[in-house]
Amino acid sequence: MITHPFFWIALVSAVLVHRDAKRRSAARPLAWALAVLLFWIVALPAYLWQRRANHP
Amino acid sequence: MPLRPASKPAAFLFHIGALLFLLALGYAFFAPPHSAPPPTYFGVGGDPLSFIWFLNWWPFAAQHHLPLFHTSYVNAPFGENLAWRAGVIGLALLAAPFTLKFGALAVYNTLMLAAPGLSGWGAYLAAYELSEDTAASLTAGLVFGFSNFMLGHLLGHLNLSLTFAIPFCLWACLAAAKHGWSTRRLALLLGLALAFEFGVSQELYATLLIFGALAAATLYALHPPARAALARLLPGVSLGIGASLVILSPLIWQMLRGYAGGSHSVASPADFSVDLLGFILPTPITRLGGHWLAPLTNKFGGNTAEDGNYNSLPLLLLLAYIARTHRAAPAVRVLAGFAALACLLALGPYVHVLGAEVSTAPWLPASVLPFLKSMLPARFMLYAWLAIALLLACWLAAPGRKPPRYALLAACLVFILPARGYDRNWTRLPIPAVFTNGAIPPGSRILILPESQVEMGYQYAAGLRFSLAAQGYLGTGAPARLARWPLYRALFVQKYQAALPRINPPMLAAFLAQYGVQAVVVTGDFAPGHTPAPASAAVAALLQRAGWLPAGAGADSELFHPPANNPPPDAAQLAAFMRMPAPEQRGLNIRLEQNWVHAIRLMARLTGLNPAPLLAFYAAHAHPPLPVDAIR
Repeated sequence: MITHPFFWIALVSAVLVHRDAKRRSAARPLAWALAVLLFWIVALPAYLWQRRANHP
Repeated sequence: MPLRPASKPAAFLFHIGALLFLLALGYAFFAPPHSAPPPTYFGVGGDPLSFIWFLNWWPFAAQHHLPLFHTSYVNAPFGENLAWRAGVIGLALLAAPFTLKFGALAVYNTLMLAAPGLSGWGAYLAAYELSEDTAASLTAGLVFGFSNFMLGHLLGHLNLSLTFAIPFCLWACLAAAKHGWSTRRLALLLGLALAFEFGVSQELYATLLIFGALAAATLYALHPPARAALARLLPGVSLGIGASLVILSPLIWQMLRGYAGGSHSVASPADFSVDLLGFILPTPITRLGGHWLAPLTNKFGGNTAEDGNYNSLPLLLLLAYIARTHRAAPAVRVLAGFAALACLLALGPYVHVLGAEVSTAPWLPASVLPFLKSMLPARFMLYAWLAIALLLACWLAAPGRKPPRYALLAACLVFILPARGYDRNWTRLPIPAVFTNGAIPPGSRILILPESQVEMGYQYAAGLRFSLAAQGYLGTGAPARLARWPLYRALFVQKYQAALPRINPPMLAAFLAQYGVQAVVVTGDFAPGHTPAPASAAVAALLQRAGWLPAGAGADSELFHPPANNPPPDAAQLAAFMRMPAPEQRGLNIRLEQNWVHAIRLMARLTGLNPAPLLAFYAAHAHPPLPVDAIR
């Protein structure tokens, strides 16, 4: 069982990213969510950056 | 023009010359600086002694018809399951004739001295298949054989230093694809190399299979024309893995049988992951900056030996430049992608920055799965370094002017040169006379205190004449039944030795009686007129308070025997001892109480209140016997 707080932060972030990506009909929402879950520190800023770039 | 031998015999001679050069370089760099009196071993700390012990154990157990995978010579009376230990069984069996003739210590030293040269030669062969340029391949051999990963593990990890088989497997695959080897030939070579690697390190065998698959996936994704070659290699590789599994089946069966009991002793993947800043901050094993930055790099997890990811900023920039400017070359594209992947996975389950976890990392799902959780991600840097070495060889061998490239690379490699103090990492192991002069009867069960992780060396030097009660360093972890004693950490973990005087003497007497300890050897400077180290003096005093009797002192040790009446504790006494606080915890509690008293006084001074009633209230309600007046 993973109990580390960062796992839960990443998990919540991944769920939010998945929902947001689906709502915005972004490409590959599941891939974004997985990337955020597994490499939060890089994937979350990257998602936010592309989100802003695509929807200024 | 690339430096390339004209014929096959000339190529063979070039390869042998490269091997001799790399071996000689390793010897010149690491040979003992002076003729230190034996026994002297290569490396520092307790790890080298456990490898020496293992090199000796397998032939010893075979000679004496003892169970191979369980020993009662350490952690007696429970013993130790050796299947999940880094036991270098393959090396030990291959080297057994030499061990029997020259001793395990000499064999260990020789293997460690040969390790960088042999590993570098493996990388040289693989690089030669890729580049067909001898000078570039030799450079790859140097980069891999003397990489930061290798230099770290040369501090004492025989199983992680002798990595020859890993680049050799890559060479076999490259050669098979290039020269159209038969499936049987590839399978035979791979099977033998993989079986050898398992015999050196089970962990590297498993990671080799994983990273081999990842390398194939990277090649498949980044260089589609190579897919046909991959498909041709698949039967040979599969047969090779199958052959290695057949050869290794008795060992694998022992590991599976001992999985529940043995795998708990493997260190945590989160603790042994590379630090993100470790790629650019040198650790103390690096000459340039390693010492100055030690206050920062000491915050990294694991230990210096495991921080094998220091590439240096100049080398990283050079690698990025090569990957960008030569990305059209398939070898550069694939090797750069694979190196980046290996570095990413080496970050472990969580990204660490100066030891603090700041994010999840891609190894997270694997770190909770059976078997995979037993792999330490920091060691994946081995594969990253191999890819980096081959990438550099491809770049050096590419068409164009060579001297500027070699000069640029040499300038970058200056930043990863090893520290001056490090290249003389030999340790002398003085053996107290009590272990060899017959004062300890053969077959005795003894304890050696204070704990300094050299007891395996003493036991080896004494020819395994005695077993070690409740101790014996063969890697991390201790039997749970021993570790539950409150005195365990103060007695056996060096960083808690300050708590030795606070061990309850009756508890120590009960502990020694419970496990049938027949003698305790206290090591230290007991020569007349000398003062032993505080830990040695504390143990000697503690044993006397526990009723144990001095039975003779030498210049370097004092022997204690149990009292005549030394019954083991009954169940009620045992339960009472287990409820007692740990000695090191008592120390922490005292410091905590002192801090509270200081805080109350400070608060009283700042607010102008009288501290006496506040302290009286605290003492009465929080800690009634607290000697407030004694706290200054």
